[in-house]
Amino acid sequence: MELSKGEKLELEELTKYFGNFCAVDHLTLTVQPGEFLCLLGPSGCGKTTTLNMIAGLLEPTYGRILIGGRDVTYLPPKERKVGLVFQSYAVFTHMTVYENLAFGLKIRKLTKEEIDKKVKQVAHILQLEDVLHVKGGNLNLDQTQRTALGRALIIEPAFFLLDEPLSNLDPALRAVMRVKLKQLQKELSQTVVYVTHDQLEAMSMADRIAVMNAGKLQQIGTPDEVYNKPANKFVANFIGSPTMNFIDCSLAEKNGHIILDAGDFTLDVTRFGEILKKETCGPEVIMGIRPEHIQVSREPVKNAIKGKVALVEPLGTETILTMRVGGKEIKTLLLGTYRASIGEELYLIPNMDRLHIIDKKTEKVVV
Amino acid sequence: MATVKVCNLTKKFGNKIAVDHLSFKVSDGEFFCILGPPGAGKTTILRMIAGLEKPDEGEIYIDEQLVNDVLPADRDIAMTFQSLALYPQWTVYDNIAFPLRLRKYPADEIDKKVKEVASLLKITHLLNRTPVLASGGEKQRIAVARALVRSPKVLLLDEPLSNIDALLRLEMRGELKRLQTELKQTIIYATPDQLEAMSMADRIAVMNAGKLQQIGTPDEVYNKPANKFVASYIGSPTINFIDCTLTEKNGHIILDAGEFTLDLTNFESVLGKELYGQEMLMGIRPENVQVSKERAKNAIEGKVVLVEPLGRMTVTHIVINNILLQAICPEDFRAEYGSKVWVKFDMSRLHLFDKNTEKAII
Repeated sequence: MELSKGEKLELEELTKYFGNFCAVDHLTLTVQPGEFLCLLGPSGCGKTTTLNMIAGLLEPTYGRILIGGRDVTYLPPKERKVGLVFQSYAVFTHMTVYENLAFGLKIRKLTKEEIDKKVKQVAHILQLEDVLHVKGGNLNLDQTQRTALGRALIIEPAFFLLDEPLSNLDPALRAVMRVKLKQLQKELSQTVVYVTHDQLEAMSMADRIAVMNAGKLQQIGTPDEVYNKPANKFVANFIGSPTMNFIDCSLAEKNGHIILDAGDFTLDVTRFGEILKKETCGPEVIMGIRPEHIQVSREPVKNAIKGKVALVEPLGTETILTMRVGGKEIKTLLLGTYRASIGEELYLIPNMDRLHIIDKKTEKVVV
Repeated sequence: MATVKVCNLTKKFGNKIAVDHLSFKVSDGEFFCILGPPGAGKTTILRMIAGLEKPDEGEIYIDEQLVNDVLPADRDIAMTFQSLALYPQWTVYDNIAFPLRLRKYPADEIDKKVKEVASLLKITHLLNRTPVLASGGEKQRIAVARALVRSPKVLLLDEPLSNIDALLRLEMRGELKRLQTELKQTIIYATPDQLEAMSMADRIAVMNAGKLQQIGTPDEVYNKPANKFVASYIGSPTINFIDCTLTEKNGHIILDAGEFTLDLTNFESVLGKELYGQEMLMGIRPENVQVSKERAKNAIEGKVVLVEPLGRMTVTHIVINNILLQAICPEDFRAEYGSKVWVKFDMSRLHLFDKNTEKAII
């Protein structure tokens, strides 16, 4: 079996209503051949409904699904050649790895010889040869995952659809499996659509991330793009941990300078003047800045914001400081161990290159 | 407020030793975490301190008073359980008031205390509702309020944040720590989550399979792990381990990893001659591995197998022949799959463990 490379997947205005409830709302996106795309969002965002429509388990209310350029919107699941891997892996514990791999081919009525040939080829690719006659229940997690992938791979799918396949593992093992899964995908040049609610998982594996909320696509971009240039407040808040600081502010002009006024402090944002004018945003805005983009000084610094330490959380690699500035709380993230005592006065220095200004009404990120 | 001391505490279930000769002392007002994977013995320790489980050996002291034979109700300890155990048919008010009613407090005092603790935990708006419709975080707060309402000497919390989602957990972590700082309440907190322990605890007792591995401040367990288990359990991404042999060559002490060697002559004072020829495990945290795309003197050549751009940092996975390493690189570091890089270690942050005993040498 010459393992085929992954195909292209296109969703055109894909929409699903359950009664009056719109679960997926005009979702349009393209997954390129060989691409690893993560569908990311909180529970209820429509990612599982989308997955079910792509797999053919649910009929869309509106819109089209194309696999390799072919319209499959109304084809039954088995004619779509989608390699599905579920959260639970669904490896049959009472069957051997061989029987597990052969299962999909048996129901497709292939001959014994054909099945044997394919099973051995897939076992070779996924390094399952040594455990072919081990029962599913006696495999370790890595082998179980490879068997689940093998079952999907053996039907020579146009692409893989993975539904939170790592969510049942403990954190250390999850990190290892992430690396293995990504390596396998790259080596086999497969197209993967990976559904997850875990932003860290999406950031670490995806070529591109499609962030969804309330049935709507919020943004699609590389991990860098969604992290550094979030399209709106939802994306800015959902990606990154600890989460971005959001502070209600108003914009005002003063002696030719544009001032971002948070009540307890002000920042000069004249440098963003042109963008702010063009986008006709404000005056009510939200300032957004990630905890790692705020430095801390014990000495007063020009334009720094004075605050008091409210909480110190040492995490080993990093330390999270929660600072009280007037009536607000601002989190900063510092590398390594930072010692500070509760109530101590410190000066916060926001990195103005990494500051975001969000229109309060539309929640669109302007800067 | 109180101190808690346990000496040689041991508990067996059949042939299985759940807790094995454990000793520690918790100071008045301390936030003390018991950290370990499932099966470490965490819950059993809490249950013994609460009096719900009888130790097979050892003593438990609360405020210097031996309490082995004191009934749970008379120990003045409150405990929250993983399952929270809220009464769904009662209002939040009645749930919180329950321990006071049980102790026959007068109604006006109950009312005052319930309202005080509810306002402290920001659940006043829930008092007249049942807990059924409360969110995970709110339920958590209700359970803590019920435990706090009668100002117990010691508060035992058993994995209180394990059932709530990640974002909320982060928030609750901060809130709990703040509450404890404010109330100066002695807390013993069991958790399998190292980040929770690191961020909240004054001191952490790391447990594995019933045995105490190390007690120390977050700083100590992170930077000076006593053994391989502690080093690997604390920190994320996890520490890198590399099999090595210690040798001597021309008056230098050399750590030989096969693919590369490191000169450890600087550590002469702790590396006695009896260690030469011994098998070792080198440990280095990902943030102490420096990666460069340029060839550099004394740097080790490796190949990139995965780049994880995590926003504020990039975790780079590198292979040096058979050795797999994780390194934390700056946020803008990018490298192609399979490309060559050069690796250096921060020798001042190097750990060395005896391969057999797994105890730390450096």
